[in-house]
Amino acid sequence: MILELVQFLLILAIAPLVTGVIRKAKALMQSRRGPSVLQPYRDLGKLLSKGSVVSNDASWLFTITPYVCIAAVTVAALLVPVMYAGTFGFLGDLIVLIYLLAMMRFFMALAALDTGSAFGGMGSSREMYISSIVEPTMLLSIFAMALVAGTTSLASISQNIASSGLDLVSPALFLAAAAFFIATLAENARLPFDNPSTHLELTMIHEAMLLEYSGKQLALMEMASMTKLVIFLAILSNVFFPWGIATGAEPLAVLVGALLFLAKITLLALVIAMIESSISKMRLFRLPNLLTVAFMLALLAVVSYYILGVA
Amino acid sequence: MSGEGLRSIVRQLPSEVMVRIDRHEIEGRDLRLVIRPDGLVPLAGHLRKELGARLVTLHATDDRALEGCFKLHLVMAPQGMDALVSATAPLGLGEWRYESLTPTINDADWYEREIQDMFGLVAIGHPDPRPLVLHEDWPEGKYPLRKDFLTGERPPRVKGEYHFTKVEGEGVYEIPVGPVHAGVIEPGHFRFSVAGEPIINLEVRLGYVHRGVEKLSESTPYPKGVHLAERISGDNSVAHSTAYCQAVEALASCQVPERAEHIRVVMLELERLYNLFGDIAGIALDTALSVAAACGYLLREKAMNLNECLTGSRLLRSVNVLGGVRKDLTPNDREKVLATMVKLKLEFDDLVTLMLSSPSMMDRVETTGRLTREMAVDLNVVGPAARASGVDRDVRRDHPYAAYGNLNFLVPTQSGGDVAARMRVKMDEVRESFSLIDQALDGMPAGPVRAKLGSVPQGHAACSLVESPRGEIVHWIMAGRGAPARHKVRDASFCNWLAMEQAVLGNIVPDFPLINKSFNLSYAGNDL
Amino acid sequence: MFKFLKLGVLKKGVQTRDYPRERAPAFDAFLGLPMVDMERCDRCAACVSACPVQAITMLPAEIEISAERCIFCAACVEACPGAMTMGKEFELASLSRDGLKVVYRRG
Repeated sequence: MILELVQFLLILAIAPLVTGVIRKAKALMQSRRGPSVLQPYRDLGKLLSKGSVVSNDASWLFTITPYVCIAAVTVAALLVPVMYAGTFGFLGDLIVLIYLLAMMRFFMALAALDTGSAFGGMGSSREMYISSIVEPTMLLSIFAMALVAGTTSLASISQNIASSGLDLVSPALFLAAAAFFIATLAENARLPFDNPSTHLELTMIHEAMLLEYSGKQLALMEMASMTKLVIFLAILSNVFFPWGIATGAEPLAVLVGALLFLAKITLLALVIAMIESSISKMRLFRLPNLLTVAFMLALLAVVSYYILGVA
Repeated sequence: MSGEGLRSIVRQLPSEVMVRIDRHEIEGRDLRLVIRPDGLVPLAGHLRKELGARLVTLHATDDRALEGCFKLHLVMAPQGMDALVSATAPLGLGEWRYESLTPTINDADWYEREIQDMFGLVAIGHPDPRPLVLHEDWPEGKYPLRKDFLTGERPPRVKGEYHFTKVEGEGVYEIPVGPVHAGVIEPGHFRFSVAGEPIINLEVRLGYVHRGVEKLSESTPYPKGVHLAERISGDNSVAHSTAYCQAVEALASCQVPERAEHIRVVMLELERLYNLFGDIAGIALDTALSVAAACGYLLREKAMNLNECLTGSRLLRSVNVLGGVRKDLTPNDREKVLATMVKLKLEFDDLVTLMLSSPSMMDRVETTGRLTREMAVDLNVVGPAARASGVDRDVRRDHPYAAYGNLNFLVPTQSGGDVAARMRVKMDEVRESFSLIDQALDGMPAGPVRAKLGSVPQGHAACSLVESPRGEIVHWIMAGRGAPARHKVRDASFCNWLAMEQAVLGNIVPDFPLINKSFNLSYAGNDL
Repeated sequence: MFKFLKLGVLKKGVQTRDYPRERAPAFDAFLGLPMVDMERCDRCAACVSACPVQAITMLPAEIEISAERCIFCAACVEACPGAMTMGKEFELASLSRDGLKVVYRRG
């Protein structure tokens, strides 16, 4: 119980740090020093101390969306294994996780339309356009893991795969991991889907939905986005490749699990930074091509599990 | 040689034009005509059709104090000749209307709207008589460039409405962007009519940075006018101040020393370099290719450091003075320039490799924002945007000024007309600039760098063309007492904004910032 | 494949400096705020009339240059018979309008 609580707080605590690491790595690749890795904490602190300006046309939806988003992401964080293969899994399994994130997206899209600004509307329509293919991809790829491990609770998948050594390694694992990685880039507004550091309001997808927020609400929305990224990376590292996670509650195993988790997250953050530095943003109408590739990989993962026999 | 060419132009004028010409004279490379107002349209049509002449400027002067009437001035440049045909048409006493040239030469569109705003002279038959420069809160009947409107007069604001072109249809909606943008760029308003993502129509509304440069110039003595000219469009300081100095020097018949002309070439090319680096880096930034963009902006920073080292100003301010340049280039400076050029060349090659070998970026820039050659010729597009659409024009080669007549360089062109073509033209121009700087430094003669200006006689007019990094700029000055009586400035961006409205059609909204950046037009240069 | 690294940071290194902790001195020719050597100034006021923006004011015993109005064009230095030079000051921000006026006095 304590352990699950600690790992949930760990996710929340390191969320801004992961974003800071990605930004620092990208800056170094551009031959500049870049801001310190702790800068997102300072940014959030600054935003929390500012007042907010709300459009006259906004309704109650606009005001409650930041709270809905942060609540959804926090509950989702409760379901993800970090250093111990046990979570508050009785609250829900992988289907609940996916749909908590979908609820967050739904409210964000509605809130962007709520203010009546043209950019918010464009951001919402593009977000829905991308998520129409990303959501099934995510579901299918985690579902492939659920088939391999025999359960839909994330912690149990982690436990089963980690404690069975290399027995459960199959092509389905890698195919599903690849599909989930592409889905991570799409869901978290990373290149080639969206440029997180752009100033061009006509090209924004995720940023456009946040454009009207300011002050405390913006701090909540930014924190929700950062935590969502860590949740995805945690799933990638602890559900798809969970070896090293603590399956029991011994302090040494937990410590090793925590360190391995941080190492895996840092590696994934650096890979994302490298991908973002090497390619440019794809044309909007070419994105479904890439997303469909991801969907096919996830489908292949499920199919390969059945074809290669149930082990 | 151009004298003979100009004489043959006069001989070949059709009779309907000849009969309306009151006076003509040929001086150097200028053919000056005084023509009756109803002869302007046939003259313009004849020059456009028979000689392929392009419009250099069309503006008005308020000569009611001296001669009791307004005058229209039309300057056109026949193709293939280093010559300018200037026609002056005095409108009748009390007359404030004239026949519009726009149906005959389409690129006179914005010039006539500007004349209407600034002087109140109405062009009959103009297809789009909405105000261009002054916004809807400006009262009727107040025309800023008339002589009876004093500098510093502040008319009260009124309520008004500007009507944008409306597009009707199923699912069509308008997106207003600006003048306050999400990034720190100049203010301008873009009104899109879109159906989903594809753009059906774009209307650009500028005039937010109108500072009244032309009116200010009329009360600014010539030496101080150089500083005013430098600040018309901040990143084209040397080009604008060179054009202004050349016009005043032509009026005063002052011969600029050769060494100063070579230094002017070096400075003009240094300005072109840092602008082009910024443009290329900007295209990479707008496609989110961050490493290439950082590399490009680093090059720009190094070029600006060189500028500061040579002249004390990163943007090359205070380089030109009337009669020459302010500071000489010492042998130490020369060594620094040559060493920096070597370093910049190597880094630029890396940048080009990074950009051209990135398949994701080339996919974004190819076929985006295509401007056809016919549109480019019709709208008189200038600069790299024109050369990327296959229009082979460069003022440095066609109307040589400063020391360009002695230097060898190529004018790169592409035929695609899309963002990739504009990017490639700019990359080629960077290489030409490297070569020009080397040639100018090599061939620089010894001597003084400044000549005394002498007096500027009143009543005469001079026109000076310079190729700025964005394209051709024109400064036309009619001399008054100690200050210009009329100073007409036409920046390259004035010609190119309409072309951008055409280039975005058929593209999707997220591609618009990329197309905008590939043209890289100046809002301040347009608005004056 | 890793061209963005090979031609980027692996070739050039980190190119930025930690300003304002590390100083950034201006070049020799830099056009900063004009400086007056009051020992050599003979109050001919050529600078006042040469300035295009009226940034220089002659007070009874002092010369005041307004950093707010100055456009750093060096016209005053050109006009002065030898007492003015362009300084290297570019960090001219101030919290009040008065802080933007620089006064030169004798002694």
